[in-house]
Amino acid sequence: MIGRCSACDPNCRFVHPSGPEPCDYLFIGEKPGVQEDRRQRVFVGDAGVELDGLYLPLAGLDRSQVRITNVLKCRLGASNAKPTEHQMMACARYWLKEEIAACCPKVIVPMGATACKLFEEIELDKDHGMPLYVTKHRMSLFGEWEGWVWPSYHPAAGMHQTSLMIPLIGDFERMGQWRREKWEKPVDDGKQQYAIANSPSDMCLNGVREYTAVDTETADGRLWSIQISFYRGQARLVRADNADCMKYAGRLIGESEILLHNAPYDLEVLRQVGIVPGSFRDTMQEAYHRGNLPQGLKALGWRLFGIRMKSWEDLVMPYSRARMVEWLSRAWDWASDNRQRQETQLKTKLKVTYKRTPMERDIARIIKHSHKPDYDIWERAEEAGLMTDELVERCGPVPRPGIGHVPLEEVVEYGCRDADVTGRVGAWMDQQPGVEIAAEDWDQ
Amino acid sequence: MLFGGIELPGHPDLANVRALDLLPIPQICRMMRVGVAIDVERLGEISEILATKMSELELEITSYIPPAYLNAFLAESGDDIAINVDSAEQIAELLFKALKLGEGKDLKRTPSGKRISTDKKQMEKLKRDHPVIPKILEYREASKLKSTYADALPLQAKAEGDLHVIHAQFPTTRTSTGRLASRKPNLQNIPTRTKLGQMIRKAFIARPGCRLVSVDYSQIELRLLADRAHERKMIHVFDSGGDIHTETAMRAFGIDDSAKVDKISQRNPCKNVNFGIVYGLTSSGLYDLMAVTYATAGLPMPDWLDIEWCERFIEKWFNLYPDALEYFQLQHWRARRYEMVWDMFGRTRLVPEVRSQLERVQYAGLRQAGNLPIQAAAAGVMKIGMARVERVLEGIRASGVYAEALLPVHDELLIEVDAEWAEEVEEVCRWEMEQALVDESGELRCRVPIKTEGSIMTRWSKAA
Repeated sequence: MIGRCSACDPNCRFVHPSGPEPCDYLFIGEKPGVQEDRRQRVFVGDAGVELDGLYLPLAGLDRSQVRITNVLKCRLGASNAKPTEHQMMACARYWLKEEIAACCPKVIVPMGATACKLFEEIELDKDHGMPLYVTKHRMSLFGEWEGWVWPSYHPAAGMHQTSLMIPLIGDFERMGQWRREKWEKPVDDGKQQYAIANSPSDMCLNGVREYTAVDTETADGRLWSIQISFYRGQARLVRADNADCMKYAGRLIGESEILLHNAPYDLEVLRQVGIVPGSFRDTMQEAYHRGNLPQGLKALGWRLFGIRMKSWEDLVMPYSRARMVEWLSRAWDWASDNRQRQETQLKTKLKVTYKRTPMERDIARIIKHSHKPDYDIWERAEEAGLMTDELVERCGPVPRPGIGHVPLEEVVEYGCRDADVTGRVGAWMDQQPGVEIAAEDWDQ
Repeated sequence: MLFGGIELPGHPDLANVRALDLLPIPQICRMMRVGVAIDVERLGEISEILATKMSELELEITSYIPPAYLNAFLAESGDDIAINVDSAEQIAELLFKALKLGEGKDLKRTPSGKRISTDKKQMEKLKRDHPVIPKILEYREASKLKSTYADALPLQAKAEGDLHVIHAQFPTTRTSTGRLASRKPNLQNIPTRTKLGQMIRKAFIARPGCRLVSVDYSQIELRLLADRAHERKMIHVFDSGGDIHTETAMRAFGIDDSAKVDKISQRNPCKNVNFGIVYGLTSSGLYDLMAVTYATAGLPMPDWLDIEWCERFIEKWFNLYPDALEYFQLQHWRARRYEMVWDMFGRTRLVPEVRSQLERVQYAGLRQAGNLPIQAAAAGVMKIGMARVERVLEGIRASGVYAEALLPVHDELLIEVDAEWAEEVEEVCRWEMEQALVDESGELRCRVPIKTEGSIMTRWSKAA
């Protein structure tokens, strides 16, 4: 008799995991598909064919060596729908927790977004193929287990969106190298000689200049700062309002071949202040040309150098939100004062009490929800018609999200890191071998 | 060596592709800055026209509801009009329950598995089964054009003096072929074949005192296929300035006089295959194109025209052009041997699909592998052409005349210029784009001439 988790439908058929117990490698999929449900075995459909025949051999594994299971043990009706959080956790707590305790795997490979959701720290798009050591204190779901987690896309994802076969193949090949200790996860070297340049002498190179990597920050569509990196781990930030440094930076950029990431954006910003590079390369394009790399700088920094980088939103939004809330509070004070003035004038005559105005209610509502990360206070304020000329006149200009709200030391670290990683990516690209094709196979 | 130091290495060469992709960047920056003006009033009118059309189509679609189901539909919608075409649930109810379409067919379900999907692919599959489906597709096209363009463009435009200007972005790293993309908004997606799409295009206007100059590469992919495949028969037709579609029809149908070629039943299938082959045209794809051809001509589809005929016709096409077949087979071989294919500039596309254990995944990968070298080469030619045009425009601007490139749309470049200079600019830009594969010694590095078509307009429309 098989037990049931609280998400289980009485008609569900339990699909047993396959493979040894205990095991070194535990692969976790989402839930049984049509074939699995019919044959009562995991990964026997097309995704299983790909896993057995293509991906496991790349890692030097075969099906008999590994245990394969699913987050959900039954198909939950005829639907291919993604399981809900409740279904997922109910089934995983009931079955998977025990299974992991019994199998004691050294490595868990969650395949696909659903399985990766079991591990809070994992963002699949960023972390696939990047092993993570999980300790028991961090994983309450799995009790006492601790070990390596190797996030991966689901083999079925590669069938439906074949561009995902590239990371899948790369990740499983790397897993093989990792098992043979031929590959180590990149680790941030911690080098951060980042600083603001207050005078041109602060940008002196001391003879070291491997490259000139440039990044820009803007506020309200205008240049706020330029960051320049000359070698791994070093970068300087030049404020746009520092005329001497800007002149020096402009000359330097004008004389050099610079490295940019997403060149059209930075070139346009530099052009606005009259800076035109001697020549330039675009590391985003170069990543794109290789076909097997992510294009975003943050993803490249993490995957190539183990550097975790903050996103612009993570850096700016907490500060800009706080500014916006201050502005809304001023607006609320003004609206409230305004109402009370009117009340005072009218009360003497009519002796009635007045409710808050719609404007006060809107502002109060927006401030109340403003701590929620997904709540767009600017959009809500716009919808509520709060950005009027009158309010702007009374409370000052509406503070739009921008780097200008962030403390300088944080901007220096954020901006310099972007320039640093752009330089590192450019240097990494230079070291990569070209694609070798036998000459007889060239176009005639 | 071509313009900008670009080479034609014929093998993977990322340094060359890097140089090629950097070539149009300064122009891309300018295009994003300058933007294209739109006629906001006209878009308002178009929005109304589309709304009327949608209401008419809604009534027409309602008329297909069988009487037995009508009351149930009315109860559901709570309105005079029995069906809400925007509701996929109601459309699924109409098609699969009331009209019982697709019975016995393997139909895709929605991701939640709750009902049969009514997405575009599924509807295309079923569109020959019932006249209501083309109407639903038509409604959806109108609805998309209304929301994406007619209603959204005025909101996305920036007021610049009396003008409303759209500043789209042109990302350079979004496609596997190296083509430029367009976003915020996507101006490359406006349909050119349909009347509705053309209406939207015409809402893009020249600034006062200016003209729009459109320069469009003519049959660029077919010309590059002829060159790359050394396809002798095609090279001969292009060299002699003949009409490739008529010549293909004469060969395919054994006709010795070009005047005797029937446009609809003979020239058009050839035209469709000629253009579609570099995109991996399938028999059902050809059938659909032929359906559009006959519908546009206001003629019924002949009985002999079915999927099998299309399949045989594609086979026949490859028999007529055996070098082209050999070329595609070479790409498949390269994909299997190296897990990548490359174009004449050295751009590569990885083909991981060949490692798949599933035949259908392999087949899809090989199909794309066959197409990439030609599509990527066309994108490369366009980039060189754009850079050459920009050099000319810079010269014109230096003399104080307004001349700006505005939009790259696949093989077409839209330019805006002072009205007095329009003819001259059109001529020079056409020449520059046609010289994209001419090297520094003046030699054309292509076995067939590269041709363009140009037109001068006050409102954007398809090149003449």
